[in-house]
Amino acid sequence: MKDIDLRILENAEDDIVEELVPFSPDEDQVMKRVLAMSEKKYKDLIRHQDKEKEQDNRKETIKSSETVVEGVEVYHRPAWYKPLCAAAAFILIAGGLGTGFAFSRKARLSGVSQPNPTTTAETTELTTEAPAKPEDILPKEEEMKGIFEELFPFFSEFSGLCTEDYFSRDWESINFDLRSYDGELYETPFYKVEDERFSTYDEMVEYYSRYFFEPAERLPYAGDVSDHQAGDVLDDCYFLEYNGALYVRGTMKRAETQEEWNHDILSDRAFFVNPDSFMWERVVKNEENDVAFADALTMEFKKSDDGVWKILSYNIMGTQYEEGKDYTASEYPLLEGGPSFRADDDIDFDSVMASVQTYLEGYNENFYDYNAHWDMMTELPDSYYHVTDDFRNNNRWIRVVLEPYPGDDTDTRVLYVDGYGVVFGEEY
Amino acid sequence: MTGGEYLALLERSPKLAHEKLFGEYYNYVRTIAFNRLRSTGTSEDVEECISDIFAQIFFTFGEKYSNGDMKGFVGTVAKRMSIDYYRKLIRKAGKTFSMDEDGVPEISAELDLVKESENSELRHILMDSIRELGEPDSTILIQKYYYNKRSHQIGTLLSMNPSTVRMRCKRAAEKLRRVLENRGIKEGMI
Repeated sequence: MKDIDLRILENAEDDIVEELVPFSPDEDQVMKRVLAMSEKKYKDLIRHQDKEKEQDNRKETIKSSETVVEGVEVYHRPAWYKPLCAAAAFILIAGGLGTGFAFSRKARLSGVSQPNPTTTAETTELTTEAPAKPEDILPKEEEMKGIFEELFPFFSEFSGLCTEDYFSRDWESINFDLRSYDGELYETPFYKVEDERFSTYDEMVEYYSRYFFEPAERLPYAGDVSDHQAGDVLDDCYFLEYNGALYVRGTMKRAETQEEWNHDILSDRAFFVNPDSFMWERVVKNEENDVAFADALTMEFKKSDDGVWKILSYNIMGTQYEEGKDYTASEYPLLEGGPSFRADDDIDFDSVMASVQTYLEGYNENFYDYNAHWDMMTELPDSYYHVTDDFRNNNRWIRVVLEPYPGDDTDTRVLYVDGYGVVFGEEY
Repeated sequence: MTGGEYLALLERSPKLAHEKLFGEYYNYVRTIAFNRLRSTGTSEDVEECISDIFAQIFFTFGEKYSNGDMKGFVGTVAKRMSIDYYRKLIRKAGKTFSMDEDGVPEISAELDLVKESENSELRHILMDSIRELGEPDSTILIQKYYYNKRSHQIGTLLSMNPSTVRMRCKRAAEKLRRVLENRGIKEGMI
């Protein structure tokens, strides 16, 4: 018997094409790779557009005015390198860090926020109470590593509560239709939790409060839905209570295991260390289908009022692995911008980063040509390039470090920015 | 996800917005690119093309499309760019021909239209018949006879034993022939 020939389906109409989905067993890896490529190409398109705009603006500026950036000599530093790392970076688990680095295109193009008029009034205030950081009260590297490793299993379980690493398909279950934010409905199973440590949502939150700050923020809860029937529509959630029992949503995801974070370690270090808080970053190499990635797990720890170290936040990101790169060389984490626990509440990071971008544009440079990190600073160095006196002089400033990407022939730039977003200084 | 919802998410987190859009339309875009390039390009070409398409969508999707059909926008970009990529590959492979050269087939517009109309009818009957087989048989047939996948690859995809795939494939093919015959489509017509 002759084989069936389906070549007639080539160049088929749209309604047929949609049903001809080509699957491959390594589809997840292919998707990951293609998404990274798409992001890189998208950023290239943005850069290309920005460059054209810059050129137009320059022409316009030359026509209309001789001095645009006061006190700063305008010069051009070419940025040939197309950054691969940042472009290929992808978030594996969206973290809870409000780093302020997530710009939208619209925000990027909208220009800088003007500093608050009160800035001038505060320039004469000089606070001399810079908090001291004697080395002996800072936690030691080994102690911090111990805290990371001790709390890792709780992170693993906590972040994997909706995976089969925690729940069992044998547990009693009930299906609800979940309405996602895009309005679509998804039939979703919820499994009745069989865990001797807790049987209600409050008990679960209380249990994980021993290891996490504000665990409920990462445990989206629908409340008691006992007045609903199976198949009813609920808002998107991961936990609910039904007829007096706690239910967990069943997903196809998997938990992060200690094994996968314990092999091919490229870097394992603490950052932003304070007496009562620090960030730990572990970077491991993962190879999938001939593509190597550097995956970074960052966890922030903070000491509670009763002196117990707990997890403040966690985040997993990845980027393309670079052969020969020393992943322990940088004084900053691989992909995390800065620490969430160090930022003052009244600092507007969007304005800060928009100002940095505008400042760089004065040098015909692009923010996205740099790998940006930040930290809080309380003291200014003896000598630095002072851009303006018109800034908030309260010893709570942001130090923004702009590192060029490997292969880029430019220098690292370090800028000092106040809480209103005024770039007032730069390191020589 | 509507265009407006995408733009709202884009404001909060471009990365998440891109990931969401990518996850939602990856299969759709891949299918369009794959079907356009399958006879010309390699799997790397298809991946390149898909990434070009998404980069273009990320770059161009804006307010003016937010009220329209997002799938329509994605499909249009995917089709146009797949065709461009196909032409690029053809040029690269030296498969172009000049209309001045001898041997260019004369085109009979009327004949082609009739033939294309017949083919379109046949394609819809064929797809209806494949759909009628139900899952997993319809997927097995498409993967086997359209994408030339091996039984063990299909088995991995469907979590089935390769021998089960072979058996189901054989039976499904026989059933498809019967269904097509009942609809007046004999072997050789397709």
